[in-house]
Amino acid sequence: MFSQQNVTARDLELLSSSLDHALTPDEQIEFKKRLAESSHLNTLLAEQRWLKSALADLPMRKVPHNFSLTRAEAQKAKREKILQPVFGWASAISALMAVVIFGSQLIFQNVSLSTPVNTQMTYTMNDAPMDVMENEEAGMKVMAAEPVSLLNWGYGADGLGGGYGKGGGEGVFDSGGVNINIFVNSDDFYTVEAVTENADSEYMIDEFLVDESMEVLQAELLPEPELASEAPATTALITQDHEVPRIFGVDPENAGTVIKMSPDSSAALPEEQVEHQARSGEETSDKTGIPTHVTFGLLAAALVFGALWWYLKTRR
Amino acid sequence: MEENLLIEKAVQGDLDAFNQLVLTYQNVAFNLAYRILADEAGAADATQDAVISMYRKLNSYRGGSFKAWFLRIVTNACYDELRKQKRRPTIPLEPVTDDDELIESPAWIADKSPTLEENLVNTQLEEAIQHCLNNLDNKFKAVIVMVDISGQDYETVAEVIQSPVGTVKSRLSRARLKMQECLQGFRELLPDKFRLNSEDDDV
Repeated sequence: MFSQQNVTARDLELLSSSLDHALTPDEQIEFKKRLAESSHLNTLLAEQRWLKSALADLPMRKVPHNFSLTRAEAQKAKREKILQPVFGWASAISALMAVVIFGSQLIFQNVSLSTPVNTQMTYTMNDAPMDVMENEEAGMKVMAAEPVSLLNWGYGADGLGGGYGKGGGEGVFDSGGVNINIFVNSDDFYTVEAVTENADSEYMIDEFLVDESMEVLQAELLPEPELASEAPATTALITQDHEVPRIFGVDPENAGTVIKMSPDSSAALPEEQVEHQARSGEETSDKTGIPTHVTFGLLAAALVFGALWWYLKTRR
Repeated sequence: MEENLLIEKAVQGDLDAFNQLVLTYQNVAFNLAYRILADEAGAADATQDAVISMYRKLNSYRGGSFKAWFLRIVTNACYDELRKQKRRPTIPLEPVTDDDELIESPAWIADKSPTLEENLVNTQLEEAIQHCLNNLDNKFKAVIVMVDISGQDYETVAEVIQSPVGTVKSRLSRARLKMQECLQGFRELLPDKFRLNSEDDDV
């Protein structure tokens, strides 16, 4: 190896420039002075001079063929010149849109998490925890402007479900000024609402009368065999599988009494409908209203366009 | 035809003018690529890529030395090729005998021809120089090849690497020193006086 004692980077740079006759007059003076001081620098100069000549003497390779372009090659090059930026921009725009959609989803998610949850209108007995029930009750108390009178059917209200065969399981009974709205939504879920229209609706209603009127009403309103066969399977299952329908939120000790409740279970959607909406919402759209498959489609497009752009950029 | 006129026509879409420019500089471009890549086929590919790329980018040519612009595109094509080779290293096919024994030095067999035998030392020296060039970083290699092998001036090289002339000088100085050090591994190929000096240094 070469020893580089007493040779600085500046010396080497001057030496290199002197080989190419690229020293300024001042640099020439400086370099000559350094050469006089260092014999090693003289040796390096001689060796590098030889190296330069050896490099310059390397044989030039003959080109294997002319590199000029034919008309077809030129046209192809021009086409790719157009396509490549198109794919590049398409990829960038797709990726940007996907990012915007994901970002807005995150924002909407945060906003909806911070707002009170009042959207769940119905609960099943198995699923509804007590705190949720309490929250719902508290919410109803706050929200109801006018309390409505509800009939407490208790646990003895056999066979109320099914009504008269509406697909959603809604039955409406009219009995002596008492409107009874019954929502039967699934196998183990029932809500019962009875609204009295009389002014003295706060009186105790005789349980027998109520049961009797219900039996009469049921008998009157039971569907014809043909109609029953057309009813959805859920209705039949409800009436057959649950001998003792449990009524959500009813105090068994006060069965048969009219109680004051606020609100408004009548607004509750049938559970099937709620579930269907929730399911379809999860599957097809996000909170921004943009279907999920659109977002994934944009991501896929960004990847495909990006791959095409990269291919056109790097291929021969 | 004057170069500026050819450039002007080429920019306007005249393929013949463009091809004339290519023919003018293809030799220096190919040799630059060959010395950077140390592979003739790869150099041909890189040069062809550079020509196509240059044709696409003609509208972005903003004056200055056309040769420097062309060489810059060739250098970049070589760097791309080197990156590809790094990602996908190729294994050369070793020739074998009829008995499936590996021929260790096919180059040595090729050197048996009388013409090459006469130039054996020069060939070996060229191989040694190419070996040392291959060991250089790309930024040093491009500069020393352009200045010492292709004979370009500092300004052109500065334009090619898009750096100041001072950077060219500095890189060239370091590249030459590294080459010098590397070639000490091939003392038998060096002139006698350098061999003696090297041995003295070691002592």
